[in-house]
Amino acid sequence: MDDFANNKQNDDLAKDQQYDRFVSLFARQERSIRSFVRSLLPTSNDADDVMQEVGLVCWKKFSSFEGDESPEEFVRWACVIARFEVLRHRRNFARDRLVLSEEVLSLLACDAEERLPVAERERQAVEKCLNKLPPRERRLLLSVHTPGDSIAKVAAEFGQEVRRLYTKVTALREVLKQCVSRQMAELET
Amino acid sequence: MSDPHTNQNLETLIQQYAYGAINAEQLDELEAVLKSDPDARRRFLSEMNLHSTLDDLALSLDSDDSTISSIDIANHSSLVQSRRTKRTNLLALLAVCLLVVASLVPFMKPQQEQRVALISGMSGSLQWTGDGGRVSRNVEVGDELSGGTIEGMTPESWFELTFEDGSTVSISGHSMLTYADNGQKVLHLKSGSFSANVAKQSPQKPMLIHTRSALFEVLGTRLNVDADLSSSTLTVTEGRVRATRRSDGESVEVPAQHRVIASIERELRPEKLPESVSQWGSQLYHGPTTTYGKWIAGSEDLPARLWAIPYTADKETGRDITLYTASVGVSTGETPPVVLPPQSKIRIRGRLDHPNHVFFGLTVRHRNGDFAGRFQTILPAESFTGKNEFEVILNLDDYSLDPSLEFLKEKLPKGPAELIVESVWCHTLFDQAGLAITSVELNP
Repeated sequence: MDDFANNKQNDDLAKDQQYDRFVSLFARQERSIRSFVRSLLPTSNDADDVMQEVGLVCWKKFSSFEGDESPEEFVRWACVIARFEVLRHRRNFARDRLVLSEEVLSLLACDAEERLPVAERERQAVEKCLNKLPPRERRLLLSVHTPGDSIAKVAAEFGQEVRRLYTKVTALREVLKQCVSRQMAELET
Repeated sequence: MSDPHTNQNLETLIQQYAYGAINAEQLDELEAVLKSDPDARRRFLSEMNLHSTLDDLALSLDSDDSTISSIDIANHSSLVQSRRTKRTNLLALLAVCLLVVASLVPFMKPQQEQRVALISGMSGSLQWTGDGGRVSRNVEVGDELSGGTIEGMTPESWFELTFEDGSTVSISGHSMLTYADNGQKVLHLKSGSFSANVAKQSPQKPMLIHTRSALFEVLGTRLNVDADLSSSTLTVTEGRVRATRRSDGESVEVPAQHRVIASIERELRPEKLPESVSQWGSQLYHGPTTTYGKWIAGSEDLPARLWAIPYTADKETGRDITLYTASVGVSTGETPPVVLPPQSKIRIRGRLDHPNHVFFGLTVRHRNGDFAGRFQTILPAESFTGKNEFEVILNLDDYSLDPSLEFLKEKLPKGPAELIVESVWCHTLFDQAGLAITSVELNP
């Protein structure tokens, strides 16, 4: 095998390793990055669209990622990229939708980057608190976040008033938030 | 944000935003609070994080969870499964995309087309067709383009192109412009209007602007061109332009602050720019001149109408939405420019088959022809309940800058007063609400 072939083989190997490392980091941290993106955008679909772009841009720029394997550093780096993708996405849909200004989104993005660890703890707390709810109430609370489902639909199926179920969902959210606050306070002490 | 009432209000605003149900007034309120209060931002992010987490958990909801037994489980679980699959396949899709992109890169590089201009400003829906017929609606500020055709797809579209020598051209509204620069700039305005600020050109190679009825040769100037099927109006703000009428080859020099109308019905003669007026009324009964929409002639019982027509932005732009738009050109062609004093009122009459949010807007330009922005106001569906016919009277103060132009807000005027009104438009979003305009009046 000549030098050219050897070099090419080494290059391919290095690229494969870099690719494996990227996919592994991205897969592990996708939820945190998506949560950051979702915090800045009004709908889940917007977040899904931006995440596809974020994934591609992160890969294109992965060679410039100088951090170690620490998940925190990767998330922080990816969130900087995500911030710009969110702003780009916003420019596309701002013509026709009511959205926050670039200035406010930038402020929120800065704050969100600073509170990434807190956001992760909040997510864990929400999951824990949700599991404490009776299944029926959990199902009702999640209905507003489930595509194809809605409080109106649940109300129709139950033969209950929509307004009453809305009130119940609001109350359940409050219960959940109080539980999350307690969990967070416990973690901090 | 310690006041409980304010806290409650903030929470309501955040919920409205998170559910995509916020209105313009609430958004302004939320924006003001978030801009000034770090604690409000913390609460906002915490709430949105809760939403995000519940979105995730909703996806992992066990479809066998039959605690609500009467729910249509099959339908419900297929939707959940569909979205879950979408999300869980994201990485797989990403991996495939990366591999495909990597393997195709050598073949995907376009032929070395000469980049002749840069997009220096844009908003609204646009379509660019490049050499070889490539069509893209995914153009952005900063993109370098080879020669091609740029088309404003709706009355709200606007686009500015900067050539290497600093010359700029911009189109506004439903217009179509083809451009090339192979040592000499050549533009073809198929329809609509455009303005240009042209740097000094070589006398041997002036910028050529073609329309169906005229050819304009430009050495360095500011100008506007309005073109339709039978005539073209050239307005020169600075410098001189040679105008040639195609039908008979006659040509004239048009100096600054003059205009010429190239049409077979009148003499080709430069005339001083007419004084602006502050009062104007649409004349839809005459026909669909400089309008956008479906025109229906009037009858004994009904006035002529201009129905809003749909335009759907495709998924390439990330905006799979439909706008139903109608627009009436105001300061176009031969008519004197209409400039509104600050106390002006805009009266729009029309009809709406179903109550819906309606966006009412004005597109304006500076006296030198430069784009000065789009200003709009949104009236809620409640304003249109009761009967199908409507009459809306708006003050200029009611209008604010279209959010999609926010990146230009430092450069654009604060409002539409004292500017030339290019067009008046209205649209509904998503729903065919049966919107039509029957008349527009601008009164000082």
